[in-house]
Amino acid sequence: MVALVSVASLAAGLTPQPLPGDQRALVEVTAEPHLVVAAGYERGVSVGGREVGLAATVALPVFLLDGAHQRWELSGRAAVLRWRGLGVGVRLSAAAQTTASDVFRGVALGVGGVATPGLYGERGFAAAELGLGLTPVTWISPTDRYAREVWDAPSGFYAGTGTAATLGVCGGLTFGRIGLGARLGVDGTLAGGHRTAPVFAGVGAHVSL
Amino acid sequence: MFVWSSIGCLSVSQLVPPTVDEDPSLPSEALAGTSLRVERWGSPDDPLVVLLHGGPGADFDGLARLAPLADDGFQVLAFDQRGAGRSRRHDPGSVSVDRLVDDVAELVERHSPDGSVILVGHSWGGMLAAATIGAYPELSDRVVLLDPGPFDGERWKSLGLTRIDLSAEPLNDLFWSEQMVSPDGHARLDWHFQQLVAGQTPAYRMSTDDPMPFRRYGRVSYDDVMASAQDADGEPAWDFAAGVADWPGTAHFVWGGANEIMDPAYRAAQEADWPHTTTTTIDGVGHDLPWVAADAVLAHLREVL
Repeated sequence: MVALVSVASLAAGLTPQPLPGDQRALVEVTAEPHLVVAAGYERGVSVGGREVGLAATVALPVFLLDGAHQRWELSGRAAVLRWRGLGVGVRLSAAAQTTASDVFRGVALGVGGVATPGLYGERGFAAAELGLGLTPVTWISPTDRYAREVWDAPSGFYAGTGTAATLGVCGGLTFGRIGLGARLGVDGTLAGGHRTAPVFAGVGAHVSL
Repeated sequence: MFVWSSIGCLSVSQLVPPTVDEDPSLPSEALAGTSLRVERWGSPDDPLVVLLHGGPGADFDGLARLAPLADDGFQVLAFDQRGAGRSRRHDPGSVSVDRLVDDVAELVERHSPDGSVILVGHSWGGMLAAATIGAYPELSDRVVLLDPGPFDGERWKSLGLTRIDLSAEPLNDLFWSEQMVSPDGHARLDWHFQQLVAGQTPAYRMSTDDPMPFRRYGRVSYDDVMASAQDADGEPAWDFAAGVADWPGTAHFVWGGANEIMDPAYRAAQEADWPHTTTTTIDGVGHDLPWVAADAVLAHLREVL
C-alpha cells in the first residue's frame, strides 16, 4: 500500500512549497522496487492564509504499460511547523490504483499521509520521511482463468485490504525554475507483513510554468 | 471489519480456498503438531505408495490422477506437505526440509502394513523423495522420480531459474498488487503468490489446455523450505542425493520429453547421483506429466512397480 499514498507523491513532495499562484509540471521516476514513472501538475493556493500545494499525478509501471495499470492521486501539502531552519512538511493524499493480471482485475482506493521533519532552506531541504497509508476497500474481480484453475472467488468490494508504513529520507534542491528531489526508504505494513521487496528509491523534478 | 461486512464487503480470505483448519470437510490427519490434508485410495493392507507433490508449497491435486494405482493392488496416499496446499499454515521458521522428511517417515510408519513404502515424487517432490531415502534408506527399495528437481544446489543454479528479471510481467504484477492488497497473513501471501505461479517459465512446456491443478500455494512454506536448504549467504547449499550413493534400491526416472528446462545433460547428471536406475521419457509432454500424461505415467508405474 505504500506506493499508493506516498511514493506517488514524490514529485509533489520533494520540491519546495509553492507560493499561491505558482504552477508546476511534475515528473518522477521511482523504483518501488518495480519501475514507475509519473507525471503531474501542482498549483499553489492560499487556504486560510496558509500556503498549500495541490497536486494531481498519474503513475504508470514501466513494465506493465498496457493501459490497465494506473495510479491516480490527488494530494495537498503544507508546512505545519517552521522554526529557524527547521520545519515539518505534511502531505495528505487520496489515490486509486488499477490493475489487470492473470489473477485478477482490481481498483484499490486509498488515503494516506506523509510527514517530513527536517532542515528547510531557501534553495533546498533535507528531511526524514514518515508515512502511513490505508486502503479501506478494493474492488477485485478474479479472472476466468483464476476461477477455473485455482478458486472461484467472488467478485466485489473487499474490505480492509491494505496498510502501509514508510520510513526514509528525502531531499531537494531548486535551480531557478527547476527543482530536483530524491528519496530512499523502506516500507512495511501496520500488521507486520513484508512485501517481497520492501524498499523504494526515486528521483523527481518540477518545472515552474 | 463488522461495519464493512455489514454493508456487503468481502474478506480477503475469500480469495483463496480454505485450509483444513477452515474447512473441516476436507480429509485430514493430525501429525506431529500440524494438520495435513491427506487422501488415501485402496486397501490399507496393500503395499503403500506415497505421492510427493511439487513446489515446495503446492498441493497434491495434480498427482491425484495417479490414484488409479489403487486398482493394481497398492494403497495410495497423497498429502499436502506441512504448511503447503490446503494443510494447516504455520508461522515463518516452522517448516524445513528435515521436518518434511520426518513427516514422510511418520506417515509411512502410520499407514504402511509392513513399514515400507514406494515414494513417487514429482519436481520438488522428487527432491524430497531423495532426501527421505537418504535419511531413512531402510524405508524403501523403490522410488519413482517424475521430472525431479535438482538434487544439488549447483545444478539448481545451472538451470538459471534463480535469475531475477525485473522487467518480467509476473514479478511486476506481484509488486503492483502487493501495493493494493498488503501481504499480511497467509491468505494474502498465498493469493499474491499466484501471480508468480501463473507466470510459469514457458520452457517447462506445461499444457495450457490442461493447466496445473494447484488450488493453493503456501508462500511461507515455500520460503521456509528454500531457506532451510540454503547456506548463510542465501546460496543453494543442498545435496539431497548425498545419502543415496550406497542405497541398494532402484530409482525409476520418468521424464517429460518436451521439458526444455530439464534437458538431456541435466537428466543424465540427476540419474548419475543414484547407483541403480531405470529411465523412460514420455515424448510430447512437459513438466506437467503426472496429470497431462497420467495414463502413460500409470502404465509405466505398473510396469516397474
